[in-house]
Amino acid sequence: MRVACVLLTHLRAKAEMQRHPHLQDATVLIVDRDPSQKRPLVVDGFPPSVKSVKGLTLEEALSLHVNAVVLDADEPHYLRVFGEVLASLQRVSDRVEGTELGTAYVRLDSLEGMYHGEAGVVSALLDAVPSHLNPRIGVADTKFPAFVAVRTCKTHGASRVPNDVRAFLAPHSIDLLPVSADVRAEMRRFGLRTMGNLAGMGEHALVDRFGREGGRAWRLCNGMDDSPVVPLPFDESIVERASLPFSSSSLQALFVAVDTLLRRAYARREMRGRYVGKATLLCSASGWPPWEKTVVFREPAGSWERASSAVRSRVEADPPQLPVEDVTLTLSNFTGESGTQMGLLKDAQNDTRRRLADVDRRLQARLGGHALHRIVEVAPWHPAPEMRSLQVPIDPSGGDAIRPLHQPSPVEVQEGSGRVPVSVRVKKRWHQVARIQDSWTFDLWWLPEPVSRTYYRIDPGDGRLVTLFRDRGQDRWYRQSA
Amino acid sequence: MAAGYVELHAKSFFSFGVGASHAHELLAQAKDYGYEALALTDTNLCGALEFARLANSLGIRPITGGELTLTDDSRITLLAKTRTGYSNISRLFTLANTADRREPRLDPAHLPDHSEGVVMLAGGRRGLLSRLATDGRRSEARELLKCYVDWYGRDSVYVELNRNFLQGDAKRNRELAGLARRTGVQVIASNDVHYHHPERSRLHDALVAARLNTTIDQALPHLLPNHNFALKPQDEMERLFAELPEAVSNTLRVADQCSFDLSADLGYALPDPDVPDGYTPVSYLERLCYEAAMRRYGDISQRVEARLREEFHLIETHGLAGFLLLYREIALIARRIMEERGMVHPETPVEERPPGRGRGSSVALLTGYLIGISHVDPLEWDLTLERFISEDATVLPDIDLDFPRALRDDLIERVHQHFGPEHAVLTGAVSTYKLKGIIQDIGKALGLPQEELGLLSKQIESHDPAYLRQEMLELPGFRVKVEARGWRELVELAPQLADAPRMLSQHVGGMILSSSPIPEMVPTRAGAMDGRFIMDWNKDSVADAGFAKVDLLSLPVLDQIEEALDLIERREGTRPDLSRLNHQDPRVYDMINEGRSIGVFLLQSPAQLKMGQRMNSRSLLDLAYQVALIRPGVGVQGSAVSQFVDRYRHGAEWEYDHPLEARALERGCGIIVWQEQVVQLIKDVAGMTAAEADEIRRAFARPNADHLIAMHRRRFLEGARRNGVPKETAVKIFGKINGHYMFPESHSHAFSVTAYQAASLKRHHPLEFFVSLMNNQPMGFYPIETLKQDARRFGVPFLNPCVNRSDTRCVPDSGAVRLGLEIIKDVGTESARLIVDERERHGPYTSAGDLVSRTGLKPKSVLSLAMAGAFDGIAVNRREALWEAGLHPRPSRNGQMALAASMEHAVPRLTDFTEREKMMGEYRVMGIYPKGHLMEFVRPGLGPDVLPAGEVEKLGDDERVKVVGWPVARQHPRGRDGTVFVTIEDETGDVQVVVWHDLFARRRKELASHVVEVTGRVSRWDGTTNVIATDIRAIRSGVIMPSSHDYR
Repeated sequence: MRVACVLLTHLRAKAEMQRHPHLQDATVLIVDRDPSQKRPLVVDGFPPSVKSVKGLTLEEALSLHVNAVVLDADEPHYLRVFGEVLASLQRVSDRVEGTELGTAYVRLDSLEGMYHGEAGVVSALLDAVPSHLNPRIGVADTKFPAFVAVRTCKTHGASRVPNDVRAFLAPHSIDLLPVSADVRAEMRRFGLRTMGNLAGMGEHALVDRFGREGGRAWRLCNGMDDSPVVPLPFDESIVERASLPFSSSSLQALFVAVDTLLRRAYARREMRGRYVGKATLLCSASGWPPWEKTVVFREPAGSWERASSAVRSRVEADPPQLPVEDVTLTLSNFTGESGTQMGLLKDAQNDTRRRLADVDRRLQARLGGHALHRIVEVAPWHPAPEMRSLQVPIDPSGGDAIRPLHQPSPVEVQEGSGRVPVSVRVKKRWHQVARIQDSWTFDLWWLPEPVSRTYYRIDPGDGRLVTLFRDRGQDRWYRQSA
Repeated sequence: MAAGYVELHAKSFFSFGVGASHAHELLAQAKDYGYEALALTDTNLCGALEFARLANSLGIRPITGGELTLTDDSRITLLAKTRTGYSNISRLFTLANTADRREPRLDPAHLPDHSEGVVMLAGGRRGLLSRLATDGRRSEARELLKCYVDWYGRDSVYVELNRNFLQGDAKRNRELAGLARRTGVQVIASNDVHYHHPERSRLHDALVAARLNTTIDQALPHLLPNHNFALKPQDEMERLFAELPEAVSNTLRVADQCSFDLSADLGYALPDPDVPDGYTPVSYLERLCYEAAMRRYGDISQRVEARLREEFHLIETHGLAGFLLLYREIALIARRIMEERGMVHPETPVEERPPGRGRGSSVALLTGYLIGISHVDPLEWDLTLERFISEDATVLPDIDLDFPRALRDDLIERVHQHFGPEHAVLTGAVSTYKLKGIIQDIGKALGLPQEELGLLSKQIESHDPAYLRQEMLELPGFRVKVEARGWRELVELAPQLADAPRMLSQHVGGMILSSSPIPEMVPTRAGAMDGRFIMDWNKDSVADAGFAKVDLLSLPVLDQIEEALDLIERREGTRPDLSRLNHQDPRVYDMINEGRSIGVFLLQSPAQLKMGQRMNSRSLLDLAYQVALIRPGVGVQGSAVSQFVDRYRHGAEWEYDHPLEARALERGCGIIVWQEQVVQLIKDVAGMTAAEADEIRRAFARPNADHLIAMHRRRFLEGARRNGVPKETAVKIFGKINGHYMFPESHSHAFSVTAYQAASLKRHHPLEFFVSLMNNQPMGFYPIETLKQDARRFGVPFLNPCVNRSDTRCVPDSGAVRLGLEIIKDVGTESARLIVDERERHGPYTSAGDLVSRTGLKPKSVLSLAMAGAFDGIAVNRREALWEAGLHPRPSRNGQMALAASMEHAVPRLTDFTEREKMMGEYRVMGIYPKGHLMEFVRPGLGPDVLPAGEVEKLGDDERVKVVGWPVARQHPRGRDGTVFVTIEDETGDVQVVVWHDLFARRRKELASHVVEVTGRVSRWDGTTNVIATDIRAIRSGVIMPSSHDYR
């Protein structure tokens, strides 16, 4: 067997540099804020001088690099980048195995003919990886020596393990061994710092002291590795995206988006008769780190309602602590239909939904665009009326059409003393304010763009009541339809 | 201007996470608006008494009340008309606390039974009445209002109207006013005040979010989203309620109805002590004292008789017999616990082995000594009475009882049981916001990243939120953030929250005993610990109310002294009698005056070590001054400490600014040393009462109190003028008052005795002193590594722990301190006990593997044992011990033995750790390196110009010097313009380094390193030697030393 180990060091940092070219000259720390960890850990960073901070807590790393820009690790993005690399490598060899992020193994046997020798294959592999990811390749008869060899070569280069594998491995640090951190630390404690130190011990002594890991380490250090290259499985997924009309901290608003996306996904042709095993929700808003939640369904969900119920219960238990504006839903782990429990009684709700959809379709055909909408209350307590409810189309297909209600519209107002409205122009006609029935104010000073309004509920003399407000930030008047 | 409006619904910071102003800020604002009265209606009564006293001192009539949350989540506001009304409100709060300690909720069924003497404000924004009225359930609303009228009477129910410019206010007010009219109930206006000034609305939002542990954005449904919840001027309220003028004028009517003054009388009385039939408290106390005196002195000498007569005269004059007997009852409860634990023989008289020690007046009382509440024989060293209790005293003497840590927890529970939870309740403690808490809470509310907040908290030096901006500007990582969104608001809000009440917790041991039920005087609630009950008032309010507080404090030094005495008794066969200790021993004073009192209670801080050298104390009185001088309140008075030393020790003359100062300042040689002197000074110069004078003293300690202090200053100057003090002089005298902490005089004297006892043990029994000191950590200033170094200087070496020789705690071993097993990281008390018990049952361990097989200790613990050198006596080397330990399986939890490992291959030959690795390992797992010092490994790499710390003393004044060592403590005294005093330790001793603020600002990061190089000049002054640093550099040693501490 001939194996190549393709290594892309600091893949997270490189992916972020590609995404944020304006940070090219900045010191950047990439941080994993997984709540299961006690503290956020730095998982990568750039420029190269800060890369040693990997594994430190953010606090420790910031104390070393006080002016660093902190980016939250976007694992789905890194996996996507790595997935693209793997797909690219698969175009060179059909036997590609991705292990941890940035490390892949490729079987080279029987490709030499196609690429004019092993050097040709290696060159094709290097070419398959985007240049800015700085790939390097180690080649050996088995995976572990290839993995060690790749660390001895420069970027865009390759290194081959000589025949005496044991001698090649001997000077290398035990840190490269695929054993647990605890075992590695213990080995160091006993003064066993290199693979040569370990290879010189008796196998039984290491098995007695470190168990199976000790035995495996001894075999690897002696050049014995029988682990196969396991080719990648095919991974299918369906992705839907939606945006809310405003960033909202309301869970209800998030659920409106989730339901819309689920309904849209389940309405797709390729979903017919299929069940979903996993849903991944990615939420973001400008100025906030992305928030991701993966829900693995206990039983595959064959309808959007079932999927929605499972997603809701998980999100309610661990809600995002940030406003949400953009929502991306990824469905995966598909299975076929396994049998549906039919109800004995007619499902009236379903029936209504179906009829509504029919009416909507007919109206759409006549009017063009979404015709029927549901009104969903998402933040009834919100002082700004347009942020209290959302309008969601009945038809799940179609574009991004979640809209706010009660949008304010600019209005002309003449002010009296104390900037109180004395006349207002409605439908191209000026009306004297006969009476101010009520007035109130609010000030959402903490928002990135503060909202500060003074409201007046006025009677313009014709008995109707009109709600006006002066936006104190913009110093402009609006009419609110709520 | 005659006020036509009084605010009857106002909350302060004491409504934790709801109100956003101090009580004094509300009062100062009310004063400006010309209010004649103001009601404080917090969600508890924590600040009620403080508010009442403060209001009276400012000439505003205080109205006491509270806002209660009912089980349906609606709110009602109650105001006390009379003393009975106040008791009813207090009871209702207690009932609400009983339902839920953290989120009190009151069952409205309790209201009718506690309505007498109470005014109810129904309605408001959160009232059930408003909910019903605005939901269109008018008939239900009418019925509810009628119900309230039935309970409280028509003249004591008011429908509250708020106009805060929130959507729905107008509609609600219309409905409520109509309802009131139809039902014949009066309306009342209030602004539902949450802060004193509109600018506090942002802080209010942040506090609400912090209370809900979320961001302001997430807390939006719970916020009051505008700034209209501040106190408002009377004319503005009249304008807002122009359509209902009676709503405004009715506030004056309610204010007149509420004549109860909480600061006047609560009807408090001490419980009666148990006295046998035929005795009065005095005669019984007399009998007890004479019996004990016979036991202690053999006979009743003339001196004893005269002293007892003198004391009993005072006891009868002030009615103190019951008070002292009550303390005796508590001492006896503690004594029973000691007996149950086998800590004392039941036949040993209580006065011979008192379970606790008096801290205040009791140390001067022979009576206190004879009934077991004091540890000092006042005749033995001639303690006079007048310093503690005088003929014209009007308040109960101050007696604190300190108990060993081991006793105190049980004791508190037993006292609750003995007197009952209605009659014995722990004092509350209101924790206040400091800068770090502000950064965490408000930073989170503003949505700032937790890690950056944590980092900022760690890096800031100041505790004063006003300096947050400046601190951030000095930190490179935060400099750019000062103006960034979120951070800018943090900087703006932080000073507003300085020292604001944050939450109610439990005082460490202040117990209030009362004959009348305490919940009728102050609300109580269950404490966080089972079996404990706490009250809403903190120690200041308790003192203001005239409650007798029995302080059941735990003083670790008492545990240390007790243990040292036990060890001496074990070694020598007799137990030293500390109550008869010679307090004139020159060898003890020499040790203190040579700056060798590290580890000694109260005399060990770097400042105290230097103070000893300057004061040259030779008596307990000297020591009492010495311990009192190193307090923030004395230190901030410019060169007060030096002046005192010059006058007291060297006989320098001084003059008073005015003869009226003499009485207050004479015993401080013209300096304010004790807090009682401040009160005396104000009384004498401005002719104020003690209560008024104390209020001024406290005003200086209040945050954001410039306005308040200005008011007090005017009154002080006016009083001084009446007493004939020229204005210029009066201004100068007022300038001497500060709000920083000072000792009360009696504490200084009591503490000086305990400090002397500890010093005497160190001087004459250093082995037992250090063993007991180690066993009672943490209790002081220094890391244990420093204590070990000091012990070596006293001829007491330390030995590594050993699995076959160590006990769980430290023990004397051949003249050395053998470290206990529990000191080792990941071993702890439980595993240490397991190791020792197994050894005692089945004999010594033969190897590390043997220990694992027999104890089943976790690998982590075994590793720490090996790194600590605990296997050194039974293994070839530490590495082989570790390897071998790993070969032996631990017995399973169900007791089943595991199969023995194959020993065919046994332990391979491994080289041992190097000495440096051993040192690093020992610091890591124990925080101490018994054999040596880190600097022994660093020194070979240093240049020849680096001087050992022990040799700095030999240098002359102003000589250049360079030292390298471990900074073991950094002291940041107040009032020193940011100067920091750092103790640098090396293998030869330690040296005090003075770091001026500008150098500190530049080198603070270096100073946090484990080894630093200090370049500077020697300063020799008044018998002390310091190094004035000119530069500081970090030296990388690669060793993680135990954390040193910053003291402020």
